Amino acid sequence: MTLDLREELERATSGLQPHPDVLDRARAAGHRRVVRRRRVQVAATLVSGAAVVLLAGSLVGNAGQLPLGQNAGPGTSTTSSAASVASVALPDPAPGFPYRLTPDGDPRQASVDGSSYEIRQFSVSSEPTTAAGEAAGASAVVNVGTFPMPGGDGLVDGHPITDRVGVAGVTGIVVAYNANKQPVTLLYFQKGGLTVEITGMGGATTDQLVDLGNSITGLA
Amino acid sequence: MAREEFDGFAVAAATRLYRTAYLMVGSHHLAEDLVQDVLARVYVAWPRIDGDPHGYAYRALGNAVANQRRWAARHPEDALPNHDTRPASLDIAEAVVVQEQLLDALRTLPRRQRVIVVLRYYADLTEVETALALNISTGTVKSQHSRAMSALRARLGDDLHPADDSDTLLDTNGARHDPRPA
Repeated sequence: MTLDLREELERATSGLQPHPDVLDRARAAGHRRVVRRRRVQVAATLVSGAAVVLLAGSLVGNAGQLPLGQNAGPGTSTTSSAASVASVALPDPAPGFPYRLTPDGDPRQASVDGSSYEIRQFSVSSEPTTAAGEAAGASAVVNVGTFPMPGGDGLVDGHPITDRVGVAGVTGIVVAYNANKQPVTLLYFQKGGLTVEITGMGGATTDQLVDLGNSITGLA
Repeated sequence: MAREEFDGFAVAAATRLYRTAYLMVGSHHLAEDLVQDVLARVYVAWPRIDGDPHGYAYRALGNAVANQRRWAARHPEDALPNHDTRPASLDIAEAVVVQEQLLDALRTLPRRQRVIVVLRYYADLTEVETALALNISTGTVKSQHSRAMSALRARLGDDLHPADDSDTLLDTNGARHDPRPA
């Protein structure tokens, strides 16, 4: 009797089904990873999925060596941009988001896909964090840095641009989508050679993100 | 690809991935754990996946099983349990016996050989694709596959098909030319 390995493997597993929840759990786990990465790296380059390492160490001490924004873009890393990023600030309390989720980040160098960028991150929320230290209410993560502005092809992280708004005196792009049934709104704009990415979660509205963007100082 | 398309892929691929993972690790619980992890990886990488997401998923699965010692640590016996979800029927009694023998034989293989057999004959990957999935050379795939098939034949008999490595031929691009009759 001939025993066909392919057929027998098919038969041996024909009754097996994954738990119905596995897809929901996978989506939830994937979304958590996306958000976690978004909180520590530049969303514009998140689509690459590359491992991102935020290198420790402030570059503030090297400020003022080169003109502002001269080297903004992929594959660049200069102390001038660090100086620019270092001058950026978000008021505390920030409008609409009076609570800090984490202490404001120092300017850091982020390495993504072989390119280096200087970024500074602020994490804020509309309500105090829970006892478990998690965000409550609307929350937003602000990344300011030398990373490139996404959306040139009409897509950001695979999602279409849904709106264009005026923010900080320039035109920004908005991307709104649902990730694991949770609304996520992204606002991007460029000013003073730096790109600003604001990720709104927990029901944060575009208007709230615009107000947040308007409150950023040190962009120009 | 738009993130929304991920759902369609995941629904279509989950069962097959789960069964593949089960054949590899021999545990329903670990197989679900693996599928969840693999699909989460695909979700994260989705916007940058250029090409067949199934290939990406199988590479992630093969890597996770073959290269992650944590699976062995969490399930040291690495045994294939009974098929409690398979329908019982006297009509399929003989088939069940054959399948049990096959799964028993599969269980005796070293993990990497088992993963190679599953990827080759269940996930239907070519030798090249299997090598890429496991980050090993095609030569290693060939040798491990050959040993695995010898071990399976020793337990299941010489009538186990495919008969030998030459049963599935690859062209220079890694495409499969299966000489078996349709």
